[in-house]
Amino acid sequence: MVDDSDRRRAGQGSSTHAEPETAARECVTAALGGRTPEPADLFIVHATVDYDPLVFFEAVAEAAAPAQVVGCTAYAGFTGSTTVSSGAVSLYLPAAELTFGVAAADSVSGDLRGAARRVTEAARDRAGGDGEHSVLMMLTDGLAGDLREVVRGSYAVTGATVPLVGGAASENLSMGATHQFADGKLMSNSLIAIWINSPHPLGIGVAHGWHPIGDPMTVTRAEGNVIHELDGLPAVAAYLGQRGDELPAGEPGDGEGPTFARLTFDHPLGLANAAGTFDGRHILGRTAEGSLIMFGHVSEQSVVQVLAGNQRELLDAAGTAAATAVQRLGGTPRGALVFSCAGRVTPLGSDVAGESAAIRDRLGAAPFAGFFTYGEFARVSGSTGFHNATVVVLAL
Amino acid sequence: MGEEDDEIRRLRAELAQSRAISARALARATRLAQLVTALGKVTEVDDVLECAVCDVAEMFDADIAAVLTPSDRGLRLAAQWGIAARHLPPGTVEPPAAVGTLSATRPVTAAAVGDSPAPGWLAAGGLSHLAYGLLTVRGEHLGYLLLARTEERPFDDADIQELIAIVSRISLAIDNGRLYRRTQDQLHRLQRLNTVTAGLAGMVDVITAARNIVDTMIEHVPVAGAAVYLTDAYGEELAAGGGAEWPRILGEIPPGVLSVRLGTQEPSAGRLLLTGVPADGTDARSFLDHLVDVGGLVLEKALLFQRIRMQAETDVLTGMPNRAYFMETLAASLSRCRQDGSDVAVLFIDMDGFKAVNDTYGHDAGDQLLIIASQRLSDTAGLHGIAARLGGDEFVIACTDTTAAEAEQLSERIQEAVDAPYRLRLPAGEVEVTAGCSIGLGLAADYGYDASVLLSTADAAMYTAKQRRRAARRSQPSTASSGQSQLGPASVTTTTRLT
Repeated sequence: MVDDSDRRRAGQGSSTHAEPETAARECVTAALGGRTPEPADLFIVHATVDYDPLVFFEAVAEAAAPAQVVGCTAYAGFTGSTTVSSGAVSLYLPAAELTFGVAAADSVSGDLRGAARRVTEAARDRAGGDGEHSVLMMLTDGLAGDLREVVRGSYAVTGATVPLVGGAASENLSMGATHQFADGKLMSNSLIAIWINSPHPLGIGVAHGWHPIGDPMTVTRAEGNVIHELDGLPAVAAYLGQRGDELPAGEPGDGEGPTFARLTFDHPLGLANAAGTFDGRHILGRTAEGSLIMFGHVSEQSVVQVLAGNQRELLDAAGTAAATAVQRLGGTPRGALVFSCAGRVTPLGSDVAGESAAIRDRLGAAPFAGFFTYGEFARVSGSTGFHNATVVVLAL
Repeated sequence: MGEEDDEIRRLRAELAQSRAISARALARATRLAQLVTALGKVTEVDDVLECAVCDVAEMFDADIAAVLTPSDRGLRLAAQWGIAARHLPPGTVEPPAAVGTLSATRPVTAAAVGDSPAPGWLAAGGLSHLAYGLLTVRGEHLGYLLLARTEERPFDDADIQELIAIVSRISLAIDNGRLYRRTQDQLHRLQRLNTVTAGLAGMVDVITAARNIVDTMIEHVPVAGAAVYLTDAYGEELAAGGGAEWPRILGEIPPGVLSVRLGTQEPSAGRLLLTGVPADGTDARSFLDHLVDVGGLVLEKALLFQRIRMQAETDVLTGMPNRAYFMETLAASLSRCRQDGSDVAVLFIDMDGFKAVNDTYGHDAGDQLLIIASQRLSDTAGLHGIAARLGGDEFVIACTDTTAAEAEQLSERIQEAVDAPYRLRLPAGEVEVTAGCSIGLGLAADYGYDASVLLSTADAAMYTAKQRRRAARRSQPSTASSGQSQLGPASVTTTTRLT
């Protein structure tokens, strides 16, 4: 006997099985909890790079059929009950009163804004146009370029009235390649848009909990997502000067130790914004000339400070994000999706699982799943929609 | 422990508040510099507007930013951030009531939507607060910047003061963008003028030049129609036209047609008629004026070239083609006929009595004889061949696509025409003379398709013919009659082909 709450309730699943096919089946089975998926339902799945992504996601699609499946690779994943550093997590969202429109595009780096606009339009069309309340969820390649362009492209379709949420696919901090899955196809360098229509508002919360250290620095020379100079000095030297340490990093792919990106993930740069907070920007790498390559665009003449985090503040922020999402939802959530920055893992240290717990405390019994990203999307008001270092919660 | 926790929470809250104030101050302190830097990296007006709406929206944490520019009927949404494409207002919009309060001394205003309602086309956006800025430069009204927030967070005095600086910067950037565009357009026009001039400058054929002037006017100015008329014996005759129906001979200039003379010399090289010309004072009209100047020079050059070429190819005394032109034409004809497999005949004509007329009546009479003979040769050759004067009393005719029989028939007609008496005007009165000629025939089918060889062959044949005519004359008694000097044989046809 399936009652109405069963038809609406989300389901979370996870697996740490070494075989991708088995892990896929376990993830899906656990999330379904004995229910039979419908074509309008949606599975969101994240897997670490321990699996062959094609084998894994095809197995997920087969197990979840006829439901739609979207997903991406992740540095790590988590659900309401576990954190998975090597394995997979999933969230089953029965459509019920919701409508999901999914669209994807690959080879997007050359025109991120245009691709974002096109996939958002297509996703909206597939969802049947605007709903009474709509939310756009984006899953993107975290290494595709300046992801602020994704926000700008999507915003041309959503306008100010449709909130944005989502995350950028990650991997094991090698900065090699990430993968995305939608429409039965495994992709890289791609965008996935999921347009969600709902008869009631959906709740989005975003917070980070990082705090600035050292002195403010002016970005005196920058192009796109590359900061050449801070306070007139080579950016890498200025950044390390604020941290007061050296970082003996290897280069991506050389196997000579952790990359500069990995070593700086616990100290992103923060851009002061008009709302009185800092927008985090993680460092993707450095150039031979001493420039910092950032995950997103940084404007010349903006002021940045190095950010640091401690367990308590980061965990509080995760709880705040979840609480805000629930408050905006205006009711008891049937499930939630969480996008947490991979840069939070190091400062969270041994209490990585504490972030899930903090979120769970605010979501009540609602199942949720999420992954550690290379960037988060969240826009409810204002114009800033691309974030680093944050926790973003979508409560449904 | 409870008190300690409370104290820690309080201190943390104070620290967080302090950080927020600090971050907000930092953001505000630098956002004008950020915008100026960002605007400095774009040059086109559209990019300036795009940069303005995106960056200003982010810097002021606004949900919607738009630039409205004046148009014929209200305001046009020139750039926007935050309005879904499907929600954009169609066409133009009415100026929002709030912009009526804006002036150069009070260029920014902000209000809650409750106090100053949002325009109808933004009403569905759930807006709470709006700010408007006047975009103006040097007294010229450029439009308005609109910012909107959905959150209950008003634009405060600091925002307004900064927006005043920002609308000023955006206005300057728009002005710079327009200047850049004008400079680029002028550069582009100069490059186009240069390209077009270079193309026209290579024209040496009058009709081709006229055609190119017309095409250039229609394609590059552009005008609706253009025609070039050249002045000749029949009046002003159409050399090339396009874009409209143009009469072959120009009469009265039709209404609505601009007529300009081409060239700087007298008489003018020609006349250019134009329809649908750009208005005076526009860049396109300036471009047209440049092209008219260039077109006139090009046409003058082509006409000069035509005259020089005609002189170089024409025998001054008779007006016939000269040896150089004949040999060039013969070589071209032989090349074509060799491919076709058709025959070419060359008739070499040497007048028999010219020297006697010259010696007897003087050079003026000799010249009259040559002129009349050349007219007879040209008339007789007609469309069948080209007649030329090689020099002295030697003429030549080339016939293409012919046969030996046709060539011999032509030769007989020429012999008859040249042998006929000539009436020459002398100071003492008219005199009638006969001169006659010897004709040699060369056929390419027999001697090859080489111009020099063919001419030599015909020359040799002519020499043989002349020998025969001399022999024939020696065997005939003189038949001079009253009032007429008979200086050569008139009745013996001697066309000779070498065998």
